[in-house]
Amino acid sequence: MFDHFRLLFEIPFRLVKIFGSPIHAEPTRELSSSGQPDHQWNGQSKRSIFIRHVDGGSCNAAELEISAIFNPIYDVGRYGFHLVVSPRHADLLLLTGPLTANMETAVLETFRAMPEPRRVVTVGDGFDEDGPFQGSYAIRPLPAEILAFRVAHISGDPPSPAEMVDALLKIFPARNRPKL
Amino acid sequence: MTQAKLSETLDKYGDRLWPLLPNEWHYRLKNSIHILELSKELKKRNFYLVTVIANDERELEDKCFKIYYLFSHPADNMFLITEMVLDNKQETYCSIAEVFKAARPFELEIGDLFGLYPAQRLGQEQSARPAEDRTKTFLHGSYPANFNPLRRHDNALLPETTERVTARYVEHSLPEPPTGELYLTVGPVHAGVIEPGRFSFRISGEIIEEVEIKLGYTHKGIERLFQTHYNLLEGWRLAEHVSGDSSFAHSLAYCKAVEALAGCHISKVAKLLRALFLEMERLVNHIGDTGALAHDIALELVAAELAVLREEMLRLNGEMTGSRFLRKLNRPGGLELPGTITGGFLENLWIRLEKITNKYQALAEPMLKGSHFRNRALGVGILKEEQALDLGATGMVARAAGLLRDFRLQHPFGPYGDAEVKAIIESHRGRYIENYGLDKYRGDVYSRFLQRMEEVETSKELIAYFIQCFKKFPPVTNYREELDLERVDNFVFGFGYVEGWRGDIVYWIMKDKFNRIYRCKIRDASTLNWPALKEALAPTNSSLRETLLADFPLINKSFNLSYSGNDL
Repeated sequence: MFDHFRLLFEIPFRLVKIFGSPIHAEPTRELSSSGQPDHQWNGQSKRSIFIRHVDGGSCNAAELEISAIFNPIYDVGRYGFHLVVSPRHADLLLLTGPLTANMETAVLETFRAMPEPRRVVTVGDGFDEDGPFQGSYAIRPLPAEILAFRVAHISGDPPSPAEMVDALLKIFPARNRPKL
Repeated sequence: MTQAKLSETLDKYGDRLWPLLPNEWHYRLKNSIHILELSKELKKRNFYLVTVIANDERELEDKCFKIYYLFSHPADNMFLITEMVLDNKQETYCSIAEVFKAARPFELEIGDLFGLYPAQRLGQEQSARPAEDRTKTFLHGSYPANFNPLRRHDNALLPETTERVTARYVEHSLPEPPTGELYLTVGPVHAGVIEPGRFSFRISGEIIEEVEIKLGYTHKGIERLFQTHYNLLEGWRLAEHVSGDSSFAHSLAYCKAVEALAGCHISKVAKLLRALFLEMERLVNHIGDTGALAHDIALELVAAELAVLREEMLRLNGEMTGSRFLRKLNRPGGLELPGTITGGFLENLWIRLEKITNKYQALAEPMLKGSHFRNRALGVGILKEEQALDLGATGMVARAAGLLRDFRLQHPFGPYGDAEVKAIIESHRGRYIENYGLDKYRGDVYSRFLQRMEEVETSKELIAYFIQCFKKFPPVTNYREELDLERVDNFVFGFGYVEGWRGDIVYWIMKDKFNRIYRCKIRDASTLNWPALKEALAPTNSSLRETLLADFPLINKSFNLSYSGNDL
C-alpha cells in the first residue's frame, strides 16, 4: 500500500529526470576555499535550502523584497527555502550590494563561518557593472573568495519577489519539491 | 513682533544676503565665534536645527571652508540659513552641540568626511588636529587616517584598494565590565533581513544600562558620488537609492532642490501626483511597520495579514507607475510616467485602496485593545516630549512624543498648502493618542503604534482629496517642464525639503560651472532620530522605567530608522 503511494509520487520526478533536465543556472565555478573543486554540490539539492541573508551595504529596497518572499503570498517556505539566523546553519548566502568597505570584514567572516558545501547568490543592482554606486571610493569589489562560490546574480532595481522566487527555483531546481 | 526682534538679533551677528526663495533668511556671520551666541538665542526661541552642511570652498571666492546651518522657524513657514566662514586656513570650528544636541551627528560626519573638528573651547583655535582624532563614525578602520573624501583635491583620492587590509573589530572592543554586568554586542550582521548596524549593550541582569550604537556600515560615499558621477539632471537616479523605503521622498527632495536652484515652476498636476505618490509611500511603510510590530510580539497571524496588505499596496504602486518602490518617476521639473494617469484609473485605485485601509483598520484596532500588545508596548521605550525637543528628534517619532514636527504643516509644499489639506491633517492629529494613549506613557512604543494608525487614516483621506482635485484637471500627457539651468548663476545653492514617511528629508545642492553638482548634502530623518532611539533604549533620566533587553527589538522596530539614509 505504502509502496504504491511512493511510486505515484515518484513517477513524475522520474519522468523529469528522463525527458528533460529542469532549467537551472550553471554554477559559475566550483571551488572550495582550498582551491579544490567543490565535489559535494552538483547544482541540485535534494532537500531544503537554508538561507542566511547579509546586507553588504545596500539601500534597503532589496531587503524589503527579500523579506517579502517569505510572506504568505510568495511563501518560499513551501519550496523548502528557510531563513536561518546563523551562518553556521546556512547553505546559501543571499548577499545584497554593493559591498562597502565598512562591511567587507563582516561579510567575509559571515561567509567563512558557513559550512561547505556553500553557495552565494547576489541580489540587486548594487553589484551590477552599471549600478548606481559604481565608482565610489567606499565600494569594494566582491572578494575572489566569495566570487568563487557565487552561483548566480539576481539583478533588478530591486528584483521583485516574483523574480526572486523564480530565480531561486531555477538555481535550486526542486527534485523533491512541488513545481510552481 | 518676535520676527522683528529676531531680525535685530540676526543683524547684530551677521550680514543679510539675498535669498533664493521668499521663505528663506540667509545670513553670513560676521565672525565665526558668534555662532554659539546666535544658536543659544535660536534655541530659546525653539528653532529646530534641520541640517548642518560643510562645504570646501577653497577654490571659490572666499577661499575657505564654510559651514552652513539650516534652522526651521517653530511657527512660521521660514527657514534660516546661517553661513559660517572658517577663515585663515582654519580647520577647526566652534561646536554648537552643547546648545543643539542634534548638531552632534553632523559634527561627527564633518570630522570624518572633511577633516574639520570642533575646537575644544571657544577661542582656543588650533591650525590642524591630529588625524587620530577621527571618530570613525562613517569611515571605519579600513580607511587610511588622513583620508577625507569630501575635501577637494588634497587627499581626496584613496590609495589602491590592495593596500587597505581588512580591519578586524578590535577598534570597537569594549572595556572589561564590572562584576555582575555584562556586555552584549549585536551586529553588524543581524538575525533577520535588516540593514547592518552594531549595538553594544551594557546589561545588568535583563536591564539595559547603556547602549552604544555604531553605524556607518552602509557608508557608500554617496555625497562624493554626486560630485563625481552625476550631473544636476541625472542625480535623481542616485537620490532614490539613498534609502530604499523612501525612494520617492528622497528623489522628490532632490528634484525640489534642483527646481529651487533653477527657479522652475512645475505644473499643478505634477504637484498633485507627487503628493499622491508621497502619501502612497507613507501608507505602504506604515502598514508594513505595523505588521513588523505585530510580528515582534508574536502575533503571527496579524503580521501575516498585514504583510499581505503591504504586498497589495506595493502591487498598486507597480500597476500605477511601473515600479513597486515608486522609482524612476521624479525628474527635475516634474514627473516622468510610463503612461497617462486618468481620473478613472485613480477612481479604481481608490476603491482598492479603501478596501486595504479598511482591512488595516480591522486588523490594527483589536491589536491596540488587546492585552497581548498592551502588555508589551505600554510604557516601553518612552521618549518624552521634552527629550524629543532636546535631542532635536523629528518626523513620526517626534509627533508620537507630542511634538509638532511636520513639514506638511510647517513648511507646506505643493498641494499641502491648501486649506483643505491642512484641515484634514489637523483633524486627525493626536486623535488616537488622545483616545487610547495614557498620558504618562506618551512617547512609548504604543504611542508610536497609535501615531502610525493615525497617519494611515490621514494619508487615506489625503489621497481621496488629491484624487478629487486631480479629476478637475483635463487629462495631460506631459507632466514635466523644461529646466533652464544656463540661466542659473554658478556656485549658488538651493535646498529641497519633503515630509517623507519617517520625517523631513532635506537636500542641499550647490551647482558648479558645468551644470554639475559641486556639493550635495543629504539629510534623512534618521540622522536626527538615532540619538532619540538611544535615549529610548537606555534612559538617562532615572525617573523613567528601565528597558529590558527583550524589548529592544520592539523599540527598534517602533522607530524603524534607516541605516543607509544615515550612513550615506
